[in-house]
Amino acid sequence: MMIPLLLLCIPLASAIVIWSFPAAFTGIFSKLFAGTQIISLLVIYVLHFYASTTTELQYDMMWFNAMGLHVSLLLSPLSMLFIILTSLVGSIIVLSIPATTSKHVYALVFFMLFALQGVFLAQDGLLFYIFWELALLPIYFIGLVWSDATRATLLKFFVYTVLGSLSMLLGLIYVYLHTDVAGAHAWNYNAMIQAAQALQPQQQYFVFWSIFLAFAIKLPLFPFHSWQPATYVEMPYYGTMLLSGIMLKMGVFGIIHWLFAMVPAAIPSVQQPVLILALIGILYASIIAIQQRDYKRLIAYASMAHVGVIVCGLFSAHVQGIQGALFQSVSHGLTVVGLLLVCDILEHRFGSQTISNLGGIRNTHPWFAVLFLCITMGAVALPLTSSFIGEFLIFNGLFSYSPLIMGLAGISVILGAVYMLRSYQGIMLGQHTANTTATIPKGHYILLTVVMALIILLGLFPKPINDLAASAATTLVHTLKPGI
Amino acid sequence: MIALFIIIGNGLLALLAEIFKFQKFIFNITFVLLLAALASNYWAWQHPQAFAPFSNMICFNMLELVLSSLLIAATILWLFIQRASHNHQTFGTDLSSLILFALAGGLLLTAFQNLTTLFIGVELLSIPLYVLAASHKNSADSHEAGFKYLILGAFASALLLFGIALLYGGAASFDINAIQAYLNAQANLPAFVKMGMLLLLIAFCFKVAIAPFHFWSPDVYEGAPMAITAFMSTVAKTASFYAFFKITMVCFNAPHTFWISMLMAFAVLSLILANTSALGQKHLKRLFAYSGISHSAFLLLIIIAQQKQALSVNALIMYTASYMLSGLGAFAILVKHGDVISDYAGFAKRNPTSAFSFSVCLLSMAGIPITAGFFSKYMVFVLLLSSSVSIWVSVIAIVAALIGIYYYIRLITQLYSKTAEEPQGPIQTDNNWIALLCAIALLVIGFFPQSLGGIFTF
Repeated sequence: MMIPLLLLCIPLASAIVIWSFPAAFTGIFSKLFAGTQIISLLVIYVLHFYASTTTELQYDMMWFNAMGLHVSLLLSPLSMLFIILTSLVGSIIVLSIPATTSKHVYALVFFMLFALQGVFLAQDGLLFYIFWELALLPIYFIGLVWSDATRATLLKFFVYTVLGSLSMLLGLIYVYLHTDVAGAHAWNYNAMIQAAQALQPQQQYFVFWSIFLAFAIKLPLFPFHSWQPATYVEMPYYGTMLLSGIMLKMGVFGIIHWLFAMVPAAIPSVQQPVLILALIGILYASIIAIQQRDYKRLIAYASMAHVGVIVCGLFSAHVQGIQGALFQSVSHGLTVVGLLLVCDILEHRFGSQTISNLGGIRNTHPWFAVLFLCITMGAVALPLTSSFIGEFLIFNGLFSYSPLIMGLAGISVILGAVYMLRSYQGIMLGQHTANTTATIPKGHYILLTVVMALIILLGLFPKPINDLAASAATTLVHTLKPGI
Repeated sequence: MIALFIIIGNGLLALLAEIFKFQKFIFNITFVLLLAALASNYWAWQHPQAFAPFSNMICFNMLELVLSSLLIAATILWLFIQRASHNHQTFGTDLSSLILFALAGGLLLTAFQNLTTLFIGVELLSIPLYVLAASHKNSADSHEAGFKYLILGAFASALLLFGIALLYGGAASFDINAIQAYLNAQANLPAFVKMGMLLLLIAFCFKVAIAPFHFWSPDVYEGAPMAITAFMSTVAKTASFYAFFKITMVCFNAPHTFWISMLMAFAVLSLILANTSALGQKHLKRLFAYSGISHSAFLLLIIIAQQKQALSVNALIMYTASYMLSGLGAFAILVKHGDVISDYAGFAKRNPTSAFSFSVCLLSMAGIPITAGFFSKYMVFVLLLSSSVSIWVSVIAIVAALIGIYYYIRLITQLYSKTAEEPQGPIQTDNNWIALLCAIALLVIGFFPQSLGGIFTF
């Protein structure tokens, strides 16, 4: 019963402690709490195998009686997968924040981890929405107060995201008003799913698109992406890591946990338009990424292309496609954080993130070159890296839906290799043009090594994550089947 | 009931202060007596009794007790805002008695059982505010505001009276229950009674500043002294709205609901006009005037939804409480730091605590979780979607909320913007504890929405 609550309390308590103690303690506390995050993750991962009944993984408390709102949490295999991602990537992000940063930033990052874990645990429609919105506030304030992001960019980011949220709220309330638990409406997950599945096809489309808009903006999917590149580029590194490493996965989670479960009957007819949007996004983002001179901007577009592939996997509505999309979510979280760490080093140690200003770093920093290469290979989805497994499963699932779409999506792998390898070549190989005396802090070496190790480890032993993904995907496809 | 006597007595006492030379204590006396009024409301809540004094002219039931307590509590907070404002060195006795009479009018507006009491309440609330709007003696703007408010307010009062007279022509009674019985009994209403109902509703649209009768509000808000604007935009508007709610829910409800489509058109018009007009504002008072019109429209949606008594009452309590708290919190900042938006660039560097309070108030107005404003907007949406009102009204309300979020967040962005010059002097620790109190209250209500949003379960 306490397990899901514990998962929420640890980051929240960390945030409060860091906020309330003087700045002198921030360094030690942040390391301590990042460690706590990892240790509690390991403990809970082990525990959840031994939890004999599901009640131990559940928490339920009445919150807003008059509106049928509960604080209701459940640690399902699907949530476990995203909790692993959040804790793992979250700790890496906390450890990568430069030591000179204000203590409030650390507190806000922990608060954001709290909200993100809440999103992944919530079993109550409105609670899900509240956590979804809460996750936006810390990253907005980080960008606002502690970064060089322009006001216009942040405003666009915030308003764009809230547009999606409000549309989702409309859809969720619509479903809520069709629930009926003993004569009253309820926000409970099961009640909402039942109510939504009983809707007329026309109503299901309405629910699908109104909720999907929120996820499409968060991911971002093709026509809703215009907030993304500028926000990614102008945010500080840890902010971009939070956005692309974890926050974007809220959309993936939402599509699987809420949308697919609520309106399975609408999925077959929306499959094609969404897949086409995702395809356009993949090709569009890849082509723009190839032309980028700025490495961080390149990562922003690469991230968009990779997310497009994940969406393709989801909307193949095939068990392997969904499993692959889930696995790829974790894998993408790791690779993008690795790439952004590299980008951080490039800008702050070598003085530039423009590819043409760099070069020949391999000659002076061989170990950095090795780490960077491994992470690049992870992004290209080379066999033995984690992304390979994810993308392989996705394409497998996609093939069973339509070989043509799979073929078109497959181009992204080739284009991905083009922009990733070319940028690696431009930055690391060739003549010395970069600042050769630059030193890379030990902390970054350790973090990069950890990221690299995780990418390769998951490529070799995908079982722990893959089992969770498979179990979640099988349950889901079971729900989808009657509709398909 | 006792609270009403305490407040009127307090107002009379304040008039005597000038004669018997205890002006210095009048602030404390008012504070203590208002607390006593709250306590008496609490006592009445604990000892409910069916009691309609003055031959059924007013009546303090559970709902009226809650609503009047909200008004009194907001006035207590307002007292401290007034004390902090620059415009008045001392807490003037005339000011305090006028405000107390206005508050008594507000209480009558929650408790009326008879259209004559309603009219007395409206006038008792409005006339002191006409005077107070012009109370900045050396400012032409203030005079203009008072004059505009008087002319348009008197116009609205005339409409109200005319409407009451026409209704009386049909029902032969001023009592709202008798009028309701009359309306229920008629299959087809005579045209003049319909006219009377519409005139009465339009008069209320004037009072709560619903488009297209909203033109006075930005000008009056801008011209009036800051603290008076704070009172008008929170307590006065809310009190008028309580009467609006009561007359529509108790008196004008089914079967004759022809007026709903008119109010719906007004609400939609307000949502669009107010939010688009707010976008270009350079002064916070005007911005809050337009955002206040938008909030009025959201409150109007509660009436339009005409759904589930308990839910709409709870939504009304939640919405008005969070609206008054966020408005008072924001004005507590404004009275100290002025209302020019561009002056607030880099505000957070100089006043971190005030910036935090201001941000929470703005987030609550925008309806971002986990503030009280979120739950109030959410309850309105639930009401609206569960009613027979077209879903497009909800969609327009969502778009309006989004535009609202845009200008509130832009303001927060302004507060935390990085200005070129460093802040002068050390970081101020201006103990703007009223704003902080409002912000904390908004967060606490957001954490425990049941406390206000679940009072009634009938």
